[in-house]
Amino acid sequence: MKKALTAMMLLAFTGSAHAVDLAGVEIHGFASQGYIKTSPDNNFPVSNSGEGSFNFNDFAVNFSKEVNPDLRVGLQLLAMDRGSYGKDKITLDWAFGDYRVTDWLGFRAGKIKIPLGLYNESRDNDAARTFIFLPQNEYYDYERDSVNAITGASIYGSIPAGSAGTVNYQFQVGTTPIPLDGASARNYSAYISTVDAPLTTTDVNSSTAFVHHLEWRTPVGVRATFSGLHTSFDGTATGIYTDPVTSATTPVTAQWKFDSWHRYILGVEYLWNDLTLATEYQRDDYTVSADYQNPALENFTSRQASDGWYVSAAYRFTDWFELGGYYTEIYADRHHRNGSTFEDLGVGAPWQTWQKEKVLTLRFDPVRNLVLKVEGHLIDGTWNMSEYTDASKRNWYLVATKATVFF
Amino acid sequence: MFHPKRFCITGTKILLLLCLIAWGQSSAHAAGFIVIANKSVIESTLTRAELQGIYLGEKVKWGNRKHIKIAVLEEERTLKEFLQVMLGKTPSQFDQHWVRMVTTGKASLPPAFPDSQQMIDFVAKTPNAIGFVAGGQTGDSVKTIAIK
Repeated sequence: MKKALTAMMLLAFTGSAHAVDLAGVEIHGFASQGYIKTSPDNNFPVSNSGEGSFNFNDFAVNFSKEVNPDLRVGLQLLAMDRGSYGKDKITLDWAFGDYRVTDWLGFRAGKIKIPLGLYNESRDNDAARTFIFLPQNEYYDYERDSVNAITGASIYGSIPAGSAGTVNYQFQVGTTPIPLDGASARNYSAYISTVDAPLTTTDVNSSTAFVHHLEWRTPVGVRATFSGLHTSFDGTATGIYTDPVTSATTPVTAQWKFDSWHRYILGVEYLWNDLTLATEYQRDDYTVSADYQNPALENFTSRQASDGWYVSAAYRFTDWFELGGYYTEIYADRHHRNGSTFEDLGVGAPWQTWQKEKVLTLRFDPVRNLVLKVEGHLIDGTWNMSEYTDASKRNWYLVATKATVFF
Repeated sequence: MFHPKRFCITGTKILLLLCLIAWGQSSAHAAGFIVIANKSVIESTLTRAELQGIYLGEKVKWGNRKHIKIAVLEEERTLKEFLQVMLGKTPSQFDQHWVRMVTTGKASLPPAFPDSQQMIDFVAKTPNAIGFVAGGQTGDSVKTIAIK
C-alpha cells in the first residue's frame, strides 16, 4: 500500500507543478519531512525528540472528481510519523460526497474534515500556514487523529450579509473515529493510568458527535469563527498493577469514560496587505471517570475545565520569505491557573498543569510548490506533554525544521 | 490637550489623503484589470462582495443556478492588483486559501493562464466561466462584468 501511495505521488509530481488531471480525476497532495529536537528529557510531540528525530513527517495524496457541476466526490490518503504514533501507516484522512444545491445550502456525507477554529480543517498540510506547529491548545498533535474528521453527514452553505460580508456555516453529525493505535487513545490511557498501573486502551466507543461552525468574513480582511464540538466516548484499558511495597503484580482492567465533552473555540484572523494577525480562545469541559476492576486502585470521577489562547502575527517580507511568531497559554484547570489543584489533576507539581510557549518561525518559498521552515519554541510547563517522565523539566525548548513539496 | 482647530486641519488632511488613495485605486482599477465572463452568463454587474465570494469558492452559482467556473490570470502585475483590490489578499494568501480548499476536498483548483489572451480564449469557450484580464484586452468574444 505504501508503494502504491509513493507511486501515485511520483506520478502526480511528474505530471504538473499544480495538479494532475486523469480522466477528470484531479490529484493533489504533499510530502513533508522534518527534523525535531527538544530538551533531552522533554519529548514532544515526537516520542524521541529529546535526542533529535527524523520521525517527523506527513504525506498525503487526494483524488477528486466532479461527477456533475453540483456533485463532487473525493478522498485523501494520509500517512504521518511522530515516533510512537502514526508510524507512516496509511489512513483514510477524508472521503465524502458533496452535493451543492445552491450557494446557501449543500450536503456532504462520508468522512468529513471537522471545522474547528480557524485552521483545523487544513492542519494536515504544512504549506497552508506559516508555522510548523499550530498553537497546541487549539491544534493539539496528540488529538489530531480524533478531531480530524467526523464520519457522518453535514449541511453547509454561504449566506451573503450585504456590506457586512459573508457568513459561512457548517453543521455536522456523526462519530469521531478514534484509532486504538493512535495518539488520542494513548492520551486517554495516560489519563487513567497510575504510577503503579500503566494501562493501555484496548477498546474505544464513540457516541454521536455534533459539530457547529460559523465563519463571518468581512470585506475589510477580518475573518471571525465560532465552533463547537460535543461528544462522549468510553473504552476499556488493561495493564498490570505492581504493589509498591511487595512488588506483587496483579492484572488490571478499567472501564473509562470521557462524558459530556463540550469544546468551544472563538477565533479572529485579520489580513492587512502582507500582515496576518490571528487569535483564538478554546475551552473544554468534560467528565472523566475510571472504574478499575482491581481493589488496589481507587475509582474516580472528575470534572475537567481547561482552556487556552494564543495571539499570532506573520509578515511576508518578499515572495520567498515570511516571518511569524505566536505566544500561547494553556491551562489544565482554568479555575486555578496557578496550578494549586495539581494533585487533583494527577500531576506532581503546579507547573505541570500549564504550558506557555513563545514561538518564532521562518518560512521560505524558494521556488513554487516548495516550502522550507525553521521554528523555535521556548516553553514553560508540561501540561500537553503526553509522554511526560519524572525527568522532564519545567523550562524547555523545541526546535524543528520542515521541507514540504505540494501540488 | 484636545484642540478643535488642530483636529479640523488634521481631519481635512486625512480626508484629502483618503480621497487621493481612493482616486488612485479607482484609476488603477480602471486601467489595471477588467472582469470578464462567458456570454452565457446573465449577470452584467457584480458587487465586490459577490466577486470575493466567487474567487474564494463560496459563491458557486450564477443567478440562473448554473455552476460558476472561475479562472485565474497568472500575469503577476494584474494578478496582484486584482487580488488586492477585489479580495484584499496577496497572491501568497490567495494561494494558501486554495491549497486549503483542495487539501480538504472542498473544491477543484481553478485553472490558471499565463497571459490575457489565453484567459479570454478559455472564458469565451467555457459556458458560465468568469475571469479577469489586463485592462483594454477583452475583445468581442467575452462580456465585461462591471463591479459595483
